[in-house]
Amino acid sequence: MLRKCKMFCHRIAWFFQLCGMTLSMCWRGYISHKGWSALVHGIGLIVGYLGDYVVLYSMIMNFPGIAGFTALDVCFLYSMGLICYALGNIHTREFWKIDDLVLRGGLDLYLVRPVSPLVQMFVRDIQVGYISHLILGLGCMLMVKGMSGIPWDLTHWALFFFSILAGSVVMSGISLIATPLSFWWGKSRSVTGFIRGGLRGTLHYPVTIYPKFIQLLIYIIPYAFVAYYPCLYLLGKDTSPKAVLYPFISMLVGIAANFAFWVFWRLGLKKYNSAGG
Amino acid sequence: MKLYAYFLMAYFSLKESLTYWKDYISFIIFSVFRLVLQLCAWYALYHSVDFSPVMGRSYETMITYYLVMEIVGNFTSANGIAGTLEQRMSSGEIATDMLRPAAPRGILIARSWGEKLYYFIPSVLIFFASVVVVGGIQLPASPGVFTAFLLSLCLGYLINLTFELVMATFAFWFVEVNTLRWFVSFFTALSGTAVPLWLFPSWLQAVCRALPFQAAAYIPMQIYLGGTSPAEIFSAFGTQVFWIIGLFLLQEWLWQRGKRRIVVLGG
Repeated sequence: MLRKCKMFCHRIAWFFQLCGMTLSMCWRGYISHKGWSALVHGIGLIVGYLGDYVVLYSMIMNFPGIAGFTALDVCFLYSMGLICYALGNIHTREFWKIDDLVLRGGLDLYLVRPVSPLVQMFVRDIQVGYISHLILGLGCMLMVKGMSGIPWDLTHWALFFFSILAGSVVMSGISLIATPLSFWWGKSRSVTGFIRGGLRGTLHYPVTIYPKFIQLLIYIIPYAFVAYYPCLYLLGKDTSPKAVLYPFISMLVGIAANFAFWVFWRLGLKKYNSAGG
Repeated sequence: MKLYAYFLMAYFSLKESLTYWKDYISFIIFSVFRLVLQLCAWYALYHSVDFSPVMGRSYETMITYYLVMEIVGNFTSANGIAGTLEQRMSSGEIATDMLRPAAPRGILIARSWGEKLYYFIPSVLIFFASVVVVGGIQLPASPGVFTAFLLSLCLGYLINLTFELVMATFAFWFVEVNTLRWFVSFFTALSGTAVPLWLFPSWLQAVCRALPFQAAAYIPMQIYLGGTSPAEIFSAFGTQVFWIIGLFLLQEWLWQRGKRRIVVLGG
């Protein structure tokens, strides 16, 4: 038993060591390959997303609010979504190419190595460029917090950081969950694109604006747990004791979504037939 | 003969996309969902003011704007050309394109039409389905206005096409045009495709009017909704033609200079 425990801890330590090494490798590769253009690209991302903020804010400013949320509250939700999107997708980029990997047989490269293909794919293309999302998202969140004048105590700050963590775990699960469909369909671009991009719009607004069937959908593909529920307490929309628990529920949902992906991936991998030669 | 070749390229590009039909059907279903999500947001916003007009525009006008914009946005979009050129530059396939007995830009445009039809056909079907389901969609005031709208729509496409070609030519210098696209996306967000310009503060509207992006989609929409008087329609066409000529000349100048810089390694 002790030996099994030791082996498990060893594997976990090895995984994090591998992540650290890859992160450092990706960062050095990113800077040395792109050089100054990496900085320009980062600024470009910030400028691009600022356009979304301007549109969202201008749109809601003309109305008293949307389901009790003001334009500033909506910007807060958007920022939370942006940060969780960035953190939750740092390791998922290789899975976005799953169609090509399956159709052209590129997945073989991961299967013949003596390390789990899942681990290899997680660390293959770590997105250091998402730092722009984090800077913009955090900056806007703190600015909105200052402008809205809601006093935050230690609980708020602790929940703020935990909510970001929980939302990122949920986001990771959402981005990954449909990718194994490629094993059956060949191409799953539309489904994954819709889940990752099309439904992402639900992060910007309160869940209550949608009809019941859409609410059900964003509980199943758990976008509701990325920004809306964790932010209710932070924005003072729900000050009941149960609102403090929402970020913890989000974390559980996130773990479940990632687990569902893992099961789905294992089933898909059994279905995989190599292509090319 | 050349035109037939371009037609075939567009056809094969569309056929290639349609090979994965399950993917296409899910795309259509999910496009409907995306539309419903945005309609819910507009409904909730107008609900907060008891459906009274905002900035002089009623809820029905807003819904019409959003639904018709789905078609306008898809038709006038020329996205993908710059990305394709960037990809062919990095892989060296641009050399093959240059040797073909057809203009490289013509090949890029023909292929983009295949992709465009892939997205455009469902958007038209969804529009008609929404008209039946949602109801109350405003129609153009007269056949003349509708004709002007269609003409403006074509001009809008040409604006986006020439702009996309300008973006594509930057691939000769930077290889990666994605960075540039992010900077531009700030301004394309202000083109009126997501939110009508009348909801922006007046200073921002003035900035938007000085840019080509609103001329591509917002002007056709204004004509459709009757927000442009017959006299103003000609001036709106003038604005669109001005941007087409300006952007066309710019892309031609950049293309002629850029193509001398092509270096393809390997063999």
